[in-house]
Amino acid sequence: MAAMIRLELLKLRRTSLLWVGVASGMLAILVSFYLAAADRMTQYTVAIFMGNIVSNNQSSLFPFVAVLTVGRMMEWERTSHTLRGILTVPVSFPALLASKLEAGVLLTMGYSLLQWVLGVGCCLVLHLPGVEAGALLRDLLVLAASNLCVYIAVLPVAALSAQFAGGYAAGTVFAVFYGFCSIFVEGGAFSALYPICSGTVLLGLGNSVPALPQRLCALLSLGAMLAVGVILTVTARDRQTRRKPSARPQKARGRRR
Amino acid sequence: MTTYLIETKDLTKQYGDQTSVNRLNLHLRPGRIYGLLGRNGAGKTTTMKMLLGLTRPTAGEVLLFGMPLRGNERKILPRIGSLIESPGFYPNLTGTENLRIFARLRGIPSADAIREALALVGLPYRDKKVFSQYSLGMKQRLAIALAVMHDPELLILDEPINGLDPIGIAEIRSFLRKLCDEKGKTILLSSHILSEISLLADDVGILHQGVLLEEESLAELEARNGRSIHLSVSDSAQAARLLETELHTTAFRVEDDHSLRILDLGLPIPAIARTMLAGGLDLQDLHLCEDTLEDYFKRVTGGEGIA
Repeated sequence: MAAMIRLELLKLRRTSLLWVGVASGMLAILVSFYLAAADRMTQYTVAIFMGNIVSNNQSSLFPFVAVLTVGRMMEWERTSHTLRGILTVPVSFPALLASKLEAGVLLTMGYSLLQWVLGVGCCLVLHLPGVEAGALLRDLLVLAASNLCVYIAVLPVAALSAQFAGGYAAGTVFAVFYGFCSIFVEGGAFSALYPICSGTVLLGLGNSVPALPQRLCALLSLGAMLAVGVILTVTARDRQTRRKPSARPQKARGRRR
Repeated sequence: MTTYLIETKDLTKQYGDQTSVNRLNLHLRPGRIYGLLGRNGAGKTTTMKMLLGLTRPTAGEVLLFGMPLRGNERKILPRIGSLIESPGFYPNLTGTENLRIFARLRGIPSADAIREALALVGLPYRDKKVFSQYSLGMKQRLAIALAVMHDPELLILDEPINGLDPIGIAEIRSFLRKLCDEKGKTILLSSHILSEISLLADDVGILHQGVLLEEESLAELEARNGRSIHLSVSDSAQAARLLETELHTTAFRVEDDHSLRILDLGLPIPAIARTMLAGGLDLQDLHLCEDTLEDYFKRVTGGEGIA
């Protein structure tokens, strides 16, 4: 499987898909940067700045980036006609999808690292207080863990939409909506249960320290999404919706040996 | 009992209420090149997809290497090299990078296999050009390189000469022939180009509207091809009378006022010539005709020519 994940990353060479991730990662930083530069009422620190990046990722950017990336990776196999070549190796469709989803975990880590580097750069430019090695390392871990939780939360969406030819588009739109709804749920009673917000609860990133039952609910919520994602992946098949067009009359004739 | 490398039993594929392949019984012997001939939309690609497990048959069974394909994919498919429809490669990667991906998926550790496969089809190793910049012929060559890279026993090639220039076609033809003759590979190839099949195949299957109309060796097919003697004279009615009275045959067909086709090949051509001249007819042409594969194809498909 490790070899297949490496191959998935190799397939992304010279594609624009990675730049979509880079651009959206930068967007989260830019929004945080704008807030920190424009908001004169709040005394911004590195922790608040990084917290904003986590929040922007969770509500607006990362759900759709994750679904789009995995969905496009699978769609790429269809549009470049490599899928049938891979299936005749043979590599099963579930194994191929699993390798893409696992490569997605590595890309999530890369995305988090990129955002952290850019975020730290912004903090230095803005001269925000709190630039310490320990705190920065903690921010990196929080950012990576939070993005990973969002990735798990959208895993079923990615696993399902990748099975349909062209399904990544619908999956991406749904992921935008799914992520955006977290704004209304976050901090409320159902925050721990809403998978996109579960990471925030689990990592204790909210305004108050969550109680143990809340953390358990969050863990359960993410566990359920992971389980659904795994089930969808294991049972995945290439769901080509197009029918073969043909309009010729039937004819049963001639001889056969 | 003959062992077939590919055998299908009443293989059927339906899309909705349309039957794309209808009760197909295909037999491919080891070490032979089998040409599946048919017009566009005859069901060739669908058949090949079913042979590779890419499309599930509606009914019937596929046996490869004597085993049912279903349930034995992991044992069977690594022994096959295939090219179905258009060549499928990542457009952002070079030819070598593309082959490397498939080599690793197939568990081929050696870079030599990639180099050799590229050399066989005349493509450079480690070229900087990405696949999207390849010409159609180069794409087709790369697809053939991919099909042979893992040294499979059986090749299933759907329209392998598509997009190749005449020199390229001749090269690939000779390459495939060599694979079969020298390395003992078995090849199933489809084409709608009659001349290609007649130049390359040992056995021929004619597929028409999803039905296998004929399955013969090319030699048998040629032997059974319609042969006749063509006669051009000043008066075909008079010539017909002479054939009946002097040469005692009725196995002929008057085509128009000046030409006839004699189906009785037992008649010596010099005797026919002498009879016509003795009967006072002007003889313009007298020769033995043989049906081409295209004529034969037209006949078995009910008059429709190839695409």
